Amino acid sequence: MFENLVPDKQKSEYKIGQENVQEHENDNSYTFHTGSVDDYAELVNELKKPKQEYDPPSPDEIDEIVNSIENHDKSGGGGKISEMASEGVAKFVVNNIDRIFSFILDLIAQNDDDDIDFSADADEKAELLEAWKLLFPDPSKNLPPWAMVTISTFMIYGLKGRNAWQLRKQKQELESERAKISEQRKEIEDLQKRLDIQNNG
Amino acid sequence: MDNLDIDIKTRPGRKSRCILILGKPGTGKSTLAYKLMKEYGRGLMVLPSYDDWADILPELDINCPDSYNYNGVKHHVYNTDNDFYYIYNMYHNGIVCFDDVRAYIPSNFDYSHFKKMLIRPRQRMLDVIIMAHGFSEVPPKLFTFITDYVIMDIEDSPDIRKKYLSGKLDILTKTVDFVKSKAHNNPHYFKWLQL
Repeated sequence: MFENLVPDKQKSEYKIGQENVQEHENDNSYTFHTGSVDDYAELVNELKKPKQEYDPPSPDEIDEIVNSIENHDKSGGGGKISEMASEGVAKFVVNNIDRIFSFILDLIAQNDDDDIDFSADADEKAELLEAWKLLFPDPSKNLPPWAMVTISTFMIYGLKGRNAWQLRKQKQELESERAKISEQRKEIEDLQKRLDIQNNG
Repeated sequence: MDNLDIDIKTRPGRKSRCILILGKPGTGKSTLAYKLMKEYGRGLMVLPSYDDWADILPELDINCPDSYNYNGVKHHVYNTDNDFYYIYNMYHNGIVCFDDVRAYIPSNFDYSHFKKMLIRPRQRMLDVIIMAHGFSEVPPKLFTFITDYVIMDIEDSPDIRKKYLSGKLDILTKTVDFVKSKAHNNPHYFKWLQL
């Protein structure tokens, strides 16, 4: 049945196991239960086929590997703390860049629609983050906290200024519409009064 | 064609595999990976943090060359990117399994030692197993290296990575739907695809 899901021309390229067969297997250390015993058996067989043979690294090579990493660690590279510091600054930069660019793109498109969002999605932000992290490998060269606070405050509230300005403009337009309507109502009432006088007179 | 190409093509034996196991929590990804490593005879499970598997499996001393001479399955809890460098260079002929990759593999791993594990596993006789809860949690660039998919019940769909799954999207979508329909009766149900 499942084989039918594969397009004909692709059938030869895909290896698909048989239908659902229940398996309960116990050994001393764990219990395993799979719905696709044939898929499992085939996968195991595949992995057990002999691999292309390559020699393991020689003891000299291994010494070199261990030394090179130890020297790298001593020079401050690759540590978890520096990674975390880099990530913090990179996140800060990426989020602010995203705000600026989405603001500029909104302006270019004259976009007032909340449903149209030019911000980067989570994947795109993650990709930017990895790139920016590389620019901040050394925590001592990161942005000082006061600069981060100032920039983020400005970025968050400064960009909200556009929304505030738009809201103010909409309120003014609404107010002028209201004034127009009340003027027109007054005119209608006056005309109605005149009509009443004429009809009665 | 140079001598190197001839050597790779005529050298007997199979090539290294890069298997992506996808399944939501509780579907049995780690158990399946463990079982495959046990069957193979030699495996290393890299964990994002200390969990039950760290209690069950002996620990690998990551920077001690002697610690790599073993049969069976060991574990290592991820610490820094250098871990990948040690593993790639000192772990020979075995399966290395990365549990919950979203926790420690950067979405752009061009500058990570992890990349070497994907580009040149053959020279170390390594098979790589990568585990994640769904397609959205797999770094997009990683799909280029995947040779096998093991699909368990997942929350998302391959559509979310359609840009990176050209030509495979249809069969993966159908497989995901098929496994989902089976998972009602058996949460550990899976399908293996060689793509």
